[in-house]
Amino acid sequence: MTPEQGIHSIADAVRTGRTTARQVTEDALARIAARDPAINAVTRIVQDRALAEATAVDAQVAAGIDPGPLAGVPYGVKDLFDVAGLPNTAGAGMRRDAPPAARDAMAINRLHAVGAVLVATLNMDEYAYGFATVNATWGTTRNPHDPDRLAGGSSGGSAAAVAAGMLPFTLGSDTNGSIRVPASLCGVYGLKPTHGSLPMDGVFPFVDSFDDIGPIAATLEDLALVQSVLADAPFPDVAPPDLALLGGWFMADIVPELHDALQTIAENLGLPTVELPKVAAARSAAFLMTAAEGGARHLPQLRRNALAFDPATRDRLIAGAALPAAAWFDTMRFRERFLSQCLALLARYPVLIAPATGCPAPTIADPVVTLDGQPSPARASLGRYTQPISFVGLPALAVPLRRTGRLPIGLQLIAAPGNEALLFAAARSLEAAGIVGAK
Amino acid sequence: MPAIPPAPGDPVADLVAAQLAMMLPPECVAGVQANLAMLATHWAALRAASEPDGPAA
Repeated sequence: MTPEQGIHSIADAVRTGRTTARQVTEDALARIAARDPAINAVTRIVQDRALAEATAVDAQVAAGIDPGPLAGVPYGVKDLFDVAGLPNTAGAGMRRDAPPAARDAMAINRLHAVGAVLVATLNMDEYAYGFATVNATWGTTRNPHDPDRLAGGSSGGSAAAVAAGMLPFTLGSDTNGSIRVPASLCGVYGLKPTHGSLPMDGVFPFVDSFDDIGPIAATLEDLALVQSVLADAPFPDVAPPDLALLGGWFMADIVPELHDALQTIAENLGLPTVELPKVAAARSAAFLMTAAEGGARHLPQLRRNALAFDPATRDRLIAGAALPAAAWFDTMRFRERFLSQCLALLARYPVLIAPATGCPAPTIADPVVTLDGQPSPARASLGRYTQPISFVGLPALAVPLRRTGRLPIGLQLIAAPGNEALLFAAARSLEAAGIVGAK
Repeated sequence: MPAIPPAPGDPVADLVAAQLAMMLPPECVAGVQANLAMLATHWAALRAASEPDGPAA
């Protein structure tokens, strides 16, 4: 069984005895061994654990017990989830020898309970502070569509492992766009759920105010299945909602081919173009809050040994820790107002469409994007279009724009808190219209 | 206290020492300075947008 066959097919084959979880796991391990050296998505393979989990699933099937909807499905997690017996590195070389986690993160428990098999941990920017997955200790994760280009980050290993066909799904985390950005650049689906809706127990934190975990998968239906397991609730069946295209700031600085594609979508579907006020300020506020909270979190370790940090992370964290409290209070006041404006617009148009990134993957040799007409470091700026959305806790679904033969670019579909089902309904309608799809 | 030598006399190092009780390694001075400047720009933009007649976008 291969990831291309989809999670439903893999689990069905295991549940009905047409294959074994052990065979599926061994196939996944072989694919990682063959494909990862060129991509560098994987940081650790947990082979013994994976084979033991798979054997337990097979024993359940043999005993007439249904292991669950993810029976024997292999997956990986970003390297900031607790995995029992392993240090949670959070992508930091200084944590390689941290005390091992006593137990699995709750999200892993939920996946284990329905038969999924953990096989690997996956690369990321140090402490999730970046949109590049350029890591001083574990190296750069390369984009499976062009290994000379970035995979995006900070959940770059999670997106690249799916895009390379190593695993059918993975888990990532998204604070400012860390699921949506790599999903966009790698041409896969990724969900940043409503803030606080999925369990963060056993997840190394970055910015509590808007940290969330979420799934990444090769297909929309696979993503929906994993999300329903993580949320421990099935999706309600909802009709496709009214859509609108976010214009103005969200259409600025995007590459011409994406601009044209979005305009064509709006024309063909008869979508109105609407604007959110003060989006640039929302991005600035997200930047400030991230720097302040992230800096404060890591300040004790920075005091002890700043030079143990990845240089690309260290100086950002120190500067953030030095922000005055007045800046923090300004961001909090602004956030309330901006959320109200977002909710008012979403009350009229329940799902908004915007770019997930403004361009395809930048090259590793020249990692810059255009920001306000000027070149800007990709590590800090690839999340331009995602930051204002997660800043106020809205759920957002990254979907690949259908553009066969060209480098991927993703859209993000945005809804009011708790309305993930609307996002999936909207994505299905866009797939049916031939606008969205991984192929 | 850290065993890292301080970068005495530099305004950024002095600011970090005063606000964070931390001696800034010389390797960090330029990067911290650049990031402080960027954060100051973002804060200024946020304050401007928070004014009643601030930028609309």
